[in-house]
Amino acid sequence: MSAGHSERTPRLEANGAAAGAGAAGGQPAAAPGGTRAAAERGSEGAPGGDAGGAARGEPSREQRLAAAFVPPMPGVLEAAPRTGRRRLLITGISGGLGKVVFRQLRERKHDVDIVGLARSPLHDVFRGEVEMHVVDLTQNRAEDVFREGEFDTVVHLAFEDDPRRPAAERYKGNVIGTMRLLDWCARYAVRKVVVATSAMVYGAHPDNPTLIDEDMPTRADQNWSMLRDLVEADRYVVAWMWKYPEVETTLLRPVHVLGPTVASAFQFYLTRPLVPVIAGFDPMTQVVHEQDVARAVVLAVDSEAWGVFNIVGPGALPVQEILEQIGAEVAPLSTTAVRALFHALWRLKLVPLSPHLVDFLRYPLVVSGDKAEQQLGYRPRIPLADTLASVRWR
Amino acid sequence: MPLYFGVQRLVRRALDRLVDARAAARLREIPNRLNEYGYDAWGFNPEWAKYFFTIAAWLYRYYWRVEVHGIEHVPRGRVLLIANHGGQLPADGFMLATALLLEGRPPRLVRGMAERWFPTLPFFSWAMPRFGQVVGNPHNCVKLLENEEAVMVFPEGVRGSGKLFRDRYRLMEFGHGFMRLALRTRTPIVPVGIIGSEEQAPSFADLKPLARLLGFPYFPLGPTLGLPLPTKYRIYLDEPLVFEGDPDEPDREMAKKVEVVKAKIARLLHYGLASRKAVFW
Repeated sequence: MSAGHSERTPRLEANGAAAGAGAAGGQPAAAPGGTRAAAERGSEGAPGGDAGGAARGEPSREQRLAAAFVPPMPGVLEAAPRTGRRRLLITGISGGLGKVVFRQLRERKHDVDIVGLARSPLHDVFRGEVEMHVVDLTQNRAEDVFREGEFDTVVHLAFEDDPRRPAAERYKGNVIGTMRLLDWCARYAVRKVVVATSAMVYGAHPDNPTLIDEDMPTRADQNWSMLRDLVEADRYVVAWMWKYPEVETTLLRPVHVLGPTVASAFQFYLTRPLVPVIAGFDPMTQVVHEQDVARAVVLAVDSEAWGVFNIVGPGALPVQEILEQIGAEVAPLSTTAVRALFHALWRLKLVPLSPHLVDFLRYPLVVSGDKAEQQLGYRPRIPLADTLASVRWR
Repeated sequence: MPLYFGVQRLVRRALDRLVDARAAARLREIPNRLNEYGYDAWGFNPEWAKYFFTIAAWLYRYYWRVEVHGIEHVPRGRVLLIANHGGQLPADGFMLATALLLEGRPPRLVRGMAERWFPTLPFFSWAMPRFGQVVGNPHNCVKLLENEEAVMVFPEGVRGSGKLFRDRYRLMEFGHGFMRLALRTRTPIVPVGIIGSEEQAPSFADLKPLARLLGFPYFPLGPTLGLPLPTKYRIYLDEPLVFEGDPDEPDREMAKKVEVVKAKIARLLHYGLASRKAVFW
């Protein structure tokens, strides 16, 4: 692995330089393995190093980008020199995480104008401060938001995991929506893109190592079609990162998000009146508070670093320890029974629980947050106890 | 108080009276970093591990009556313990881990690299991480060593544990993975010779078709069908070896380094076998 280190960066560089003709030819295949190199290029290839390696006589980031420059799609606009206030677009602003990110950006970044885009209107006391576009990313008129927007930064949070919507609709929203959005980002000269998917893309598997790094395979879709759209969107972002290196793209993969505003499937599971658990299995899992995730997004917007980053909370816990801490009443059942129950609930389409969650109650998924700490300067601030206290078992 | 966790707490309170005080005390002294709920990232938790190590300590003292020589050779910080493997069931690993917990200075938690199918089994999936065992793969091993932990590896693998009685204490082919990891993470290697384990469950043949049918790696045909007898365990630890070199050298080069470790273990086994008077005492 480590010999690849020294060779990988120059190889990709050469690939990028030659890409003038071949463009995307071999890129998507190289992309998942090259993720680490992607981030290290942001930090000048110093393993575990800081973002300011240019002082060591290596070519600057601009020089590297010029070398790796891929001609953008025809009709691209020149990035106009921006004076004054930057414009920042948040997609999915009306969702749980969207609202939290909006609040934090509004409080911390006074030099940006926030524009919102979502399928449904924003319900927030500060909605008057947002230029809001209620439109689906798959609709044609969504592009118009970009034509007139002149966005400096795009924060893409419009992912849905509600099994009550038809699978084809979800796929369209998550995958096609992401593809179109990224195309527009390239065409309308967006400088920075921040996307948040989920650490679930790695999947819960019996042979999962602990402290999974960003360059490990995203294989959640091996067993579950419900996660396929999320994994596919995630992979597309990684491939796109290489296709358009002139756009600073950051992909965040937060672990299960808990908090009063978000409505993650895991949080829904934890708060059932009687929570089914699998007898004989109690895998390690990670949770992070919504405010910490939002802070990671703000850091990614500000940071020079780019690449893929796991976003973790402080420490890992077994699922049943979480349930004990929040005071839940649980029913231990066999794997078959829990799976049958989840399948039945999913068929009924009454609750946002899908059978893939059973894997996460059986097998561990613990990811490493080291890269985000070293390169983004993100470290979770909200203690586990407070994160768990924000979930009320009813 | 919810019913399920209430009952669990009552059972644990009853079990707490039976816990081996020394094992529990030493578990709390282990220099591992745990979060505020007492877990590390791999799922180790001393408050659950103490039940397991109570049983292990009893077996250690009264069943296998383990004798340890050279435990002072275990350095502080990261270390790879490389040992011979035998005896059908991995009792040698558990006794080595118990030895380092009960007699190590400071007490150490030894992380074993478990087979990949263990996490698919109910109970084992829950229990093994609680007392420090992890799924065997290189990524886990590197992360554990970077966390300054003691990792135990049996480079003979299944070839060793399924050994026939006539091959006892004859070292099978060693895998090279541990050496590459040691070079990559600059980890000292402590060779370990374990006497007693390879006679605990004599096997005269391996019933391969039955093993395949049951999904086992082997099926020992012998008087105890794999269950261990109370042989006397003697564990010998040698001085740590530090290797230098490129972790991505070809196997041919790696084999030379692995051979050094293998020879050290063979020497420990030779010494141990020559100096004992009987198998069972």
